Amino acid sequence: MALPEMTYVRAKSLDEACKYASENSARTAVIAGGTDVILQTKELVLQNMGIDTLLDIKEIPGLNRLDFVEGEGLKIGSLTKLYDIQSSEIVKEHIPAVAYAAHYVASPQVRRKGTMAGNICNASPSADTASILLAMNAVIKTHSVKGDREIPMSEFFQGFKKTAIDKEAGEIVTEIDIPELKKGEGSAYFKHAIRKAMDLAIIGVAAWVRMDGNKIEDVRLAVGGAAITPIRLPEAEAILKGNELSDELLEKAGVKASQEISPISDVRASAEYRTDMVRVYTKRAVNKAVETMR
Amino acid sequence: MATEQQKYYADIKNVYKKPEEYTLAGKGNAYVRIDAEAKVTGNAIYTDDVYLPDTWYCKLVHSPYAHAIIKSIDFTEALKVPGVKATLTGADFPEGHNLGNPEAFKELADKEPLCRKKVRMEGDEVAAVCATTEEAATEAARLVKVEYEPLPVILDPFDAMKVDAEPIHYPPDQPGTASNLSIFTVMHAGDPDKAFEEADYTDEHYYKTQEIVHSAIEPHGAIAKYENGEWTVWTTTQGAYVSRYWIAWGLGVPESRVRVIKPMVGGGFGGKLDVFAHELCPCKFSQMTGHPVKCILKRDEVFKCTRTRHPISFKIESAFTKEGKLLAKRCTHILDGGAYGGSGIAANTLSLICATFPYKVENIDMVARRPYTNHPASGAMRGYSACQVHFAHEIHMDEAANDLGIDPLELRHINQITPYYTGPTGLEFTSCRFKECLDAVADYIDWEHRDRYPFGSGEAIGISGSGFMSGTGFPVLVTPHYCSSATMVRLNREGYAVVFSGANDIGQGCDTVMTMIVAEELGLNMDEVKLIQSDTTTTPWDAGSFGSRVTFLAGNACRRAVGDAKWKLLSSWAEEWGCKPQDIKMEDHRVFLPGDSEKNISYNEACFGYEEKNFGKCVAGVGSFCHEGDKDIYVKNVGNYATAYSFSASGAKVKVDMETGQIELEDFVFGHDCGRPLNIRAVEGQIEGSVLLGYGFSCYEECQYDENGKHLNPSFRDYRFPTALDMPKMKTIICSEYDEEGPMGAKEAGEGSTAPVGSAIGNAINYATGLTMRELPITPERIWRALREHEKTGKTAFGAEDLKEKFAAMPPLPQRYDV
Repeated sequence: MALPEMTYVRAKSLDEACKYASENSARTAVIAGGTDVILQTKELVLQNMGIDTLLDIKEIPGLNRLDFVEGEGLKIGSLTKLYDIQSSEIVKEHIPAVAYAAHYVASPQVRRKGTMAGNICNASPSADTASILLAMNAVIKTHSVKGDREIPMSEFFQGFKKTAIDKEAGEIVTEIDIPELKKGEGSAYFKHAIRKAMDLAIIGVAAWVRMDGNKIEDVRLAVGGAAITPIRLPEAEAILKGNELSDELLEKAGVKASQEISPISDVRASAEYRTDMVRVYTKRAVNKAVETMR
Repeated sequence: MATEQQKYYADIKNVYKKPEEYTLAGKGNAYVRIDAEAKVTGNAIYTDDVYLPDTWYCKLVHSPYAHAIIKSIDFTEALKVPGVKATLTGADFPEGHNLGNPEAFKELADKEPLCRKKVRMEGDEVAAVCATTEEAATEAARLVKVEYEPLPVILDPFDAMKVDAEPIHYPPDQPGTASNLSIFTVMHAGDPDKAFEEADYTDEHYYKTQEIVHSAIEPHGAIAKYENGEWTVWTTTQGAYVSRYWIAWGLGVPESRVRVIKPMVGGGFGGKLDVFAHELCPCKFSQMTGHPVKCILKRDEVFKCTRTRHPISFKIESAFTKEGKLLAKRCTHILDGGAYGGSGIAANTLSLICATFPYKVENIDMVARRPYTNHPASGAMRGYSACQVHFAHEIHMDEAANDLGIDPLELRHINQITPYYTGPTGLEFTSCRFKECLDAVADYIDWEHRDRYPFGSGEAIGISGSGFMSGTGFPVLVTPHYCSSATMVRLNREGYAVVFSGANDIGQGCDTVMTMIVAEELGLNMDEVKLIQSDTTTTPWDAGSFGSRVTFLAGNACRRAVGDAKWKLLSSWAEEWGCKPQDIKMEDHRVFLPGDSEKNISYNEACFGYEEKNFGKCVAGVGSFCHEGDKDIYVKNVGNYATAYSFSASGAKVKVDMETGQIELEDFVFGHDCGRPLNIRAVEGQIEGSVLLGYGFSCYEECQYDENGKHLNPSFRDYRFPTALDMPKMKTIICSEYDEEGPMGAKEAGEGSTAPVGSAIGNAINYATGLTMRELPITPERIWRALREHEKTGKTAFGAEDLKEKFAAMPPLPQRYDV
């Protein structure tokens, strides 16, 4: 069967897109790679929300950068494909965990179409790139009829499948900025799933650390699939911060991490299993971040 | 052995090529699939690719309830959708013409084309709409209003059998006996009670397997047209003739008015053997509207409304001497039949036959019950019953070996079936290389040094063995002399031949093998043999692709057909040349008497000369294959089931993450006795596909339901079979031996190869974790849970814990009247 009928609008410039999205906010979905949006169209998810128009931003120039700026970090345009991120030598050299997280999304076919911005705008609780962006303190740059804005990743997710994007203002993500790893800093992401491809995460844990010798000077932990949005794990972070890295300390942090989440049971896994996997992968993510630090 | 027909076909055997003369059969890369180009380019025509002018579309209306009475059906809103042309309910089909599978058991056919009064599973079809576009049909189907009165939903087969259970089809006819039995089967031999009394060692264990689906990439579908009082149906079938029989029956018309054409089929795995509403409704609509009508199922419809693999609950008792000789086996298999019978009614017998494979056991007491439940209908699935049975019985074999203190490999060797053994119920084994399969696998996986992975260390190897029928003798429909397959071959004087093969290629490559057999015998190139695909009007009778029967049965029929043609041609030239037909060779487009350069002509000249002599009559051959059995094997469970049997062994190396339960299948080796492999690449492909299927079955796949029988994961996102990335390194070892009766010595490689996969992985996981997992699927979460419980309580065996009590509480079987 062909796709259900939808109005299709292709924007040529960012201002045109934002203006259109703002004027038709209730009935418009923004589409870049389309790997989530098209599925939702097929399953009438969007139509049931009153959306009958797809606004394609793929032709807008300037949104597909993938650069590393010394002293700042990675700049990933909102049209940059996940496959390009996964295979980029720049990304692999500077923040390998980001390339690693991108490689976990769905399948090669999907990653050649889908974007990182789309992955987080879809706001699935278990989105593979969300946790690492949270742990890395990334910043989401946007444009709307009100102008430019920078949204800290920690404020981006607002609820189940809800983001801070101001739809009424026609706000569109333009870029994801990920701060660089300085000396003594490292990061990691692990996804726990049944299949090695084409699977949603049971849980995924990301870690960022700054070490001073064997002491954890600073740390950020983020987890996906364990609450209605990807979240940080502040209590587990507090246990680690300022302490010497040891197996006992990691175990304590892992247990704490598993206590500050509220996962659900579904066809993929029970809440109980998710809880314990957060304990296990918190330890593994911190260890990997330390092992791979600059 | 089918000896009578061997005599009948004795002449033509004289002109068959000898194995040393083969240039194609079993020659590795000597030829490629005949459909390779069409499939690689995307040009192959599958059912959904059949476009006829002015085709309209059919959509089915499904029940949201797993068990309910239909109160009313209202099409008012649906008919308002622009483009809607017609509607159907159960009342539009002749009453009592239920769909089933074996003709000989027609009284067990229980599926109405559309439900009249009652639905028995979520997704049961209650109505259909026809519209000019698929979109309009979809919209209209959504708007059909059906009122239901829900009934109690029964999902546990043991609940279904309770004396006071709600009848899903009919109440038991003997009060106080088990309710909801679709069929039950008993198999008995020797004196098991005495053997158990005298044994040094006896045990009793319980196992359980889950419901999985075939996941053929091509969804089910059909397109039908009605012209001159005849229906033509292109459909995703594994057996055109059997589909034709049930479509005609469902419509209430003679078979002469229905033509079934099988286009390319994108995988069947047993899920496309039955006839469904999506085939009957387009037929009816095409007659009503005069338009061709198409109905292609969506993936969730395939999950809910087609067929699944029977979940089985096992009780197994075994009796051994202390030296490891298996004296007796008692077992009870409870098969969750789901809502309907169809191809599922064979599952009981198959489960019992497989329960002794691949070992000699003279004293058996075995029962299988197949209760109906409100799950989707269970049916045939690749490695039919064998995958479940070999999981349970082969995990059990290792448990027994370890209890006896005998090496599991050694215990298998002690009891292995040997060539030309006859089983206690009359199964006649012929060629058998099980021992060689076991040894090859053990050698590859380095079984001798298995101690290098300490028990419970998270790493281990496991082995397993199995046997399977190479060519189910059962022809499904009632046929003369129990005939399973027939083929015709025509030789053309322009330098080619045409083979009219009824065999149903569903992706496994039998069209290629039939082409190869003809090319080999006639000395032609592969592309000089044209194959006509299965079609009830143009190709002769064949029972279908199931029971690992195609190569053996249709292959033999095909070889006899080409042999018949060859015999006629060569007899004619032998008369001319003053020699015997078997002295003449056909090689490389030449027909010649070796050593005599005068008697050497081209294939074209040979055919031309024959036609000259016979007033233009072309050279044509007909061949058939019969198993020479009867339905007693199903009714009384005695006698020989198949023409030959294949044997397999497998070995798995796993690594288990003891913190997360994650399983890494690092290496897998498969030893298969498939007789002489005719197409080595295809055999390897079948075996690698089997490993995928077996790995998915043991560690990944499971249909999940809520308490109302609603399917929770009817999509490829949530129903997770392994992907290419999850697959292990694989090694295939073909332990072949020429089978006396097989076509060019071949046996099967399609289904038997699936059987020992799950248990090898299961055994390896058990040694790696130090636990015994008795229930599938063995998922990471289940391992994690078991490991944690073991840590807390010391418990070592997990899964199927509820079964001991449930088996003990089962109501008795009714008395049999017919035996």
